[in-house]
Amino acid sequence: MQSLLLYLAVGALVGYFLSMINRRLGPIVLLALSLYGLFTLWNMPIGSVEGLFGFEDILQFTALSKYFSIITLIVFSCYAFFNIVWISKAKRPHAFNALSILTLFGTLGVFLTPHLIALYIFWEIAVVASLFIVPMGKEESKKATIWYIVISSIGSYMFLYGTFLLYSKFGTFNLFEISGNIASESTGFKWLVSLLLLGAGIAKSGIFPLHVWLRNVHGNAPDTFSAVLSGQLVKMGSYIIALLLGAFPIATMFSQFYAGVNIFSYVLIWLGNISILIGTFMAIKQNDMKMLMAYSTVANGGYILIGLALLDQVGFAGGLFHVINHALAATMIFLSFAAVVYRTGTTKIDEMGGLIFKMPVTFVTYLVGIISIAGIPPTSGFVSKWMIFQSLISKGMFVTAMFAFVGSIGSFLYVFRPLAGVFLGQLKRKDKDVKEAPIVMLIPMIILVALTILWGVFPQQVLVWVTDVQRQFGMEPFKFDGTVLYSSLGHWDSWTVFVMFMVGFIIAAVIYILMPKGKKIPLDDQYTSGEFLHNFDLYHYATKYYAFLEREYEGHPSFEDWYTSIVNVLKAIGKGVDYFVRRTASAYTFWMALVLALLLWVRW
Amino acid sequence: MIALLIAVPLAFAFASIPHERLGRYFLPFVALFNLVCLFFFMQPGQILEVGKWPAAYGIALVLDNVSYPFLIFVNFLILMMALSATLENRYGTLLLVLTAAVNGIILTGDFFNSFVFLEIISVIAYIVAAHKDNALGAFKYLIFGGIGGTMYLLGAVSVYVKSGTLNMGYAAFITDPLIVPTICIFFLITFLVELKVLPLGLWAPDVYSNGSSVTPIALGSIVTVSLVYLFSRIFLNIFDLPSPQLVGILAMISIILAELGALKQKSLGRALSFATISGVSTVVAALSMRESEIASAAYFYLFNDVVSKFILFTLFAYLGERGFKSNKTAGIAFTFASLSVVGFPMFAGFWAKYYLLKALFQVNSYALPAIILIAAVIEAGYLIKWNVELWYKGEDTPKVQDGEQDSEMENEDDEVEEDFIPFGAQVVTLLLALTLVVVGFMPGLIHDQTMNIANNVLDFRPYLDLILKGGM
Repeated sequence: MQSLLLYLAVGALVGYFLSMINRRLGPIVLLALSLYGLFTLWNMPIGSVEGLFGFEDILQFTALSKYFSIITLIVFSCYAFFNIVWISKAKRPHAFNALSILTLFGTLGVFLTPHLIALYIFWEIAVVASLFIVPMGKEESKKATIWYIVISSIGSYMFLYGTFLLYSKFGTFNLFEISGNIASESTGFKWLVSLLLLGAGIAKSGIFPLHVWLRNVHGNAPDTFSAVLSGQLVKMGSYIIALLLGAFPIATMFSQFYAGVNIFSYVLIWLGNISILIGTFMAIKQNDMKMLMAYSTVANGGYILIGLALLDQVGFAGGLFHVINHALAATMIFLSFAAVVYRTGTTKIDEMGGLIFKMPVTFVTYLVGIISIAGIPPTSGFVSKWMIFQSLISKGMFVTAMFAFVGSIGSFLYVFRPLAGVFLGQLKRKDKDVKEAPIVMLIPMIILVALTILWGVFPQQVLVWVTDVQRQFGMEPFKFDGTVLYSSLGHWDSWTVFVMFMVGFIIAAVIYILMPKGKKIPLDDQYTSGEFLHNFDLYHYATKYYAFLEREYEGHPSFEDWYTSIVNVLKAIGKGVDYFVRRTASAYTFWMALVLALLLWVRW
Repeated sequence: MIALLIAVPLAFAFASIPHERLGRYFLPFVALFNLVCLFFFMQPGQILEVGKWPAAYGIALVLDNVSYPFLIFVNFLILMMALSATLENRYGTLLLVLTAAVNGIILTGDFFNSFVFLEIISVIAYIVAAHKDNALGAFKYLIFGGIGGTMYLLGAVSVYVKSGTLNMGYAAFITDPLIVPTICIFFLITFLVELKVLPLGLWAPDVYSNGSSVTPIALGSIVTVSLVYLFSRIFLNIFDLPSPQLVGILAMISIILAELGALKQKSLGRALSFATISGVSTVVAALSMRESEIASAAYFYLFNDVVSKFILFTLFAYLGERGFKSNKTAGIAFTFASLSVVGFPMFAGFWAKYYLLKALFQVNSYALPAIILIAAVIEAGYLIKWNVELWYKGEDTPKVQDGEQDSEMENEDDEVEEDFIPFGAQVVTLLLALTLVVVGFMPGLIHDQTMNIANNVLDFRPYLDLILKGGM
């Protein structure tokens, strides 16, 4: 672990200088480091403890560390591979490469240490590194950067305050030592500390009420980096949530509220519910495909939070599994978007169409991604969604289950919009010469598709990691046997499901091959009502795709506006301060006299 | 020997009068001479009784464990400023006198002597504040500072009336509970003005934002450090702080209001001035707690604030708001300095906040840490906004019609010429930025020093032993 972190830190500098020679060398360095990390951490035994820079025993490799590190390294490997070609479109390639490597350094550091201050340091390094990549995207990304840093700082500083509160009480920064002692504190203290520490996780994973930054940041960041932001950096927030929920442990710290779920978790579950609601409905409205997927991240963050907060055999495992599913799916989707933008130059859905003919592999990547997000077998998304639903229903939490189901249905609505708008439909005349993305970009997408399907059919590997985490936190581990997954309400066999799917697929393929093909008619060989069709661009249904649905919630309150108005209030106060500064010297004399009088009065 | 620190700059100031540019060349050498003397020829624990008058009757210059590090730091800053600032005619003479006065105010152990040096500093400050046609700002500062100086004089005179001596050490023996608080309130007013605690710090934005490479650094860094020393000496070592809770509350309100004031600013210079107010108010708020760990963290915070603001103000003076397109290294120094001010790892500012928060929580003070962190959020907002704006300046060219193209081209040529940062300034800002990074990785370098200062300043015995020499 120690050597990996050192290589990454040095690698950032190396990547910067190599990028000056040839900009493609930067992503190659990142790819090499990610693969090295993947290899090292895959084989590292759980529970190894190492020091760093002279600090004894500060790095600890828990089961949670292993799981999240592997997710991170998979995402970064695919990102680096993709970047080898994409970097030619990047605006400032040297800084982009160096900061990407530094981001990886920061996030891996977060996962590898239970020392709260060291965790904070790595966290902030990751935040600063990603902070300076975001404005390299579109024009609006500069404003988005400010949202990012302010909301991230709110979370980080809440975390810091909570850390010092704990330190003043217990004299240590090590989370596991603190968790041994915290049970005996007063309830008010427990609530305060838990809320403060979780603030960082909530801000980072984009849960309501700190979700407003996601749309602009993920939507406007450089295209491939949006994959890292959505696929990996929000997982840092989920890591904190999982760590705190499991390590404290929250399950025993607060009183039971409903069907075995304690009151604190219940509050978190409601935050998750609202996140799903907001994410889903806002996503349905979006016309920009990246902003749409950013809202999807909000919704999926809600699913993960619900799963983790359930803190039981099935739900917690489901939440953890959903982390890897969303990571893979978000990366796939954003990389496919990056490929589309690389070829067409726009992210607006209604400016594209019919790209399935020109970019079939990209289309398949996106398709598998959205199938996984919607939770349909045989992709891995189904496994995690099944586990979460099972847990909710077995506890009788029907309101949350309703939110979860609405979220699932809504998710298919909004992910279908880019599919129909970008890939299906009419090919615009200006996109006639668009080619498929270069092979180097296709390889990581294909790898991700393969992983999603592999873990949908054979989820054992991921379940082994997940149950290790559960065992480490003292929970009852999820029961599975080969490809059969058990819960209190029943069980299913993923291999059987896959076989059924393949049989159906093969039957359909056979029918397609044997039956006579339809005749391909070009669009201009028809007329309607005596009019000949001549401009096919007009016949692509993509603008205001879900207008009938959007109308239902047209006048909804906007959280972004609410936050902006708070900022405006603060700016008005600042303007008041500036007003006092600009007064004359006689006004200054007045203030002097006032303070003097105040001091003398207090003294007497 | 100690007196050389004051006498040599003063002598060179007089010597630089014949030609208007001489002072500019004398200044770095004088500062270097001071540093060499301090490092190699002086140790803490010395006292010089001027004219061989015993301390109670005459002026004593005291070099103890508190004034020694402050002297080194201040002279180092003067050396850096001499190398980086663009000193116009006669400014060298002024700054040489300022060097003498700043060294004097740190060294002196006599109230009236410190008043004299304070007035010298004030006079130079008003002149320097008027740099770049900033007469109105300097005038407002004059009014504020004038009243502040008068208050200090009243305090010094009251000390003399009550105790019969002007020496700080001997005056510490006044214990009359009716008089000492009033005396301290007089002193406190002066410090609240000079240390920019709102509402007495209202002069700072107008003065520091004049776009000069001399004013914010001479006043904001050098003078502020010396006055923090004097504040510590009077209120932590000799007397007690009158109504420390009120001072704390004023400082906390000042922190938040200054950050909010910075939020709205459209000019980088004004935003940075408000940030300075907030930074020094944090130091004052922390020092008012009178705990050694907190005071040590406060000095660390002062170190970080002063060095970062040095870099930020210098780069603002030379680049204005034109961005870093042709000055990547300046941009990196600027970014490092702003990240250090906000307190991101691995810069000095993070450790400053860390030690401060840790020490505050240990004495169960919960309001000030919350205020510091809220201020940090606001600071992060506007400093990152300025960083992004300056790094990406000129990338968003507005759609101009063809007629305006020509003027655009002309402007670009002008800008390329004006973006020249003097080599000295480049070296100094980079050096200081590297210092911030080095301290960020090895905070012990500075923290050991500040712990030493804090322990010594809160313990009056070494100081009094030095002055009283064993008996009254």
